[in-house]
Amino acid sequence: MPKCKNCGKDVKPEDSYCEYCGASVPPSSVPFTSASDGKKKKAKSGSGNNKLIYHLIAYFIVVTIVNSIITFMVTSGFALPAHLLLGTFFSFYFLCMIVIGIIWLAVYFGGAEGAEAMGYACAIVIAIAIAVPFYLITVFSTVASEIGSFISQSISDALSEAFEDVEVPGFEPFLLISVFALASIIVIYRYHLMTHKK
Amino acid sequence: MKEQKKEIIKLKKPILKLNGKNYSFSLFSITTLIIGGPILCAFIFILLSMRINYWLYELTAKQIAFILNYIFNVNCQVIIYNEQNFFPTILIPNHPFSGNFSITTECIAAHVFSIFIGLIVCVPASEDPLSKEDFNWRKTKILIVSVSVIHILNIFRIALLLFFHFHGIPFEFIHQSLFFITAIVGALFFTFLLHKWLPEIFISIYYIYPLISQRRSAKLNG
Repeated sequence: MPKCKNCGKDVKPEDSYCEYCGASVPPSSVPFTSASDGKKKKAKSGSGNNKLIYHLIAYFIVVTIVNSIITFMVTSGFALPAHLLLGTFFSFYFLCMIVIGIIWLAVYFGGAEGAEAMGYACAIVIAIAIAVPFYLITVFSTVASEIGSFISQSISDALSEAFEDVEVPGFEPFLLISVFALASIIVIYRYHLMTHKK
Repeated sequence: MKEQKKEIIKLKKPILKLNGKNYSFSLFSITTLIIGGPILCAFIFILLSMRINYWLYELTAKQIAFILNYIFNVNCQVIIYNEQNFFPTILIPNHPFSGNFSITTECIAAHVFSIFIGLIVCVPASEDPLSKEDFNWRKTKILIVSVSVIHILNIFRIALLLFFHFHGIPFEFIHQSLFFITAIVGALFFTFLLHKWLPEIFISIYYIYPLISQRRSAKLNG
């Protein structure tokens, strides 16, 4: 048992303050176990500690299922616009990663209140991102649409000129990623069970 | 509130004990894997698609032609164009359908290489010295094995594809079937290899859970 440097009495390893004199005690590093206070906890879906891991797994499962469906459709002869699919997939993926990262930072620094505040902030940002262009388009319809089309055409020309030699892959990498993601989920879940074996 | 925040920051990292070794990772390294990995994959794919790597397409075409000629007796030829806008072509004489097959970016498995190399390079090392000791060698080993196996598997896949097509099986059917099989086999083989030699890729992703769980527990306990 670690001892308090101020009064010399025993301090529990998980405590950050001495319960006798109130001095701060650096917490010791303990191996991670799922049970605090030696009690077994049942894994409940939706409980605070397990929520984020289930969200991550759910995200992987959704991506895997969508990719598998698309692959099945293409192998059955249904032609998909592959060049749009790749851009859509990566846009969706990066957007999700950024949002997850921002919410994670909010939880890290602010806990549940931070997550809620970040949720409101994201909603406000998205509302502004949609509402402001919509307002501009309706009020300044002709000018806004001309400017918008000019900007998008310039960006498109610049991108196509920069990547004119690059051949955009079709659905095949998604099949590989899907199978790898499924197998990874199984391996990660196995590690989860191994750490919760006690 | 500020004191509570300081306490959270001062918490030592959780340690995962798996397979007799201790694992702990920094937040930055996990972020590099999750965000940097796909970005690196995209960059590698763009690099492999560029004309400066034209030699890779020629090498693949020549190896496929070698297998077709010496194992399957097809008597094919490789045509390499001087113009940089054309992919090398494998010409099969006396073909029942069209005998010209271009070796494109997908034929050299560029997307597969980019995914595997991008992921392996971004795998973080554990901060525990015991689990870190041969980390670079394991990374190098898995890079060499996976790149070699992908390349060999891909060459045989295309050689079999052209051989079966030469004997009358429709191209699209055999192309989709062979790719489906090789993709599944390749993905499972890659997962097995990573699990055996570089488990840090899975453990680091799982490490997010105890990292966040510890901070939330510390916050709840005050």
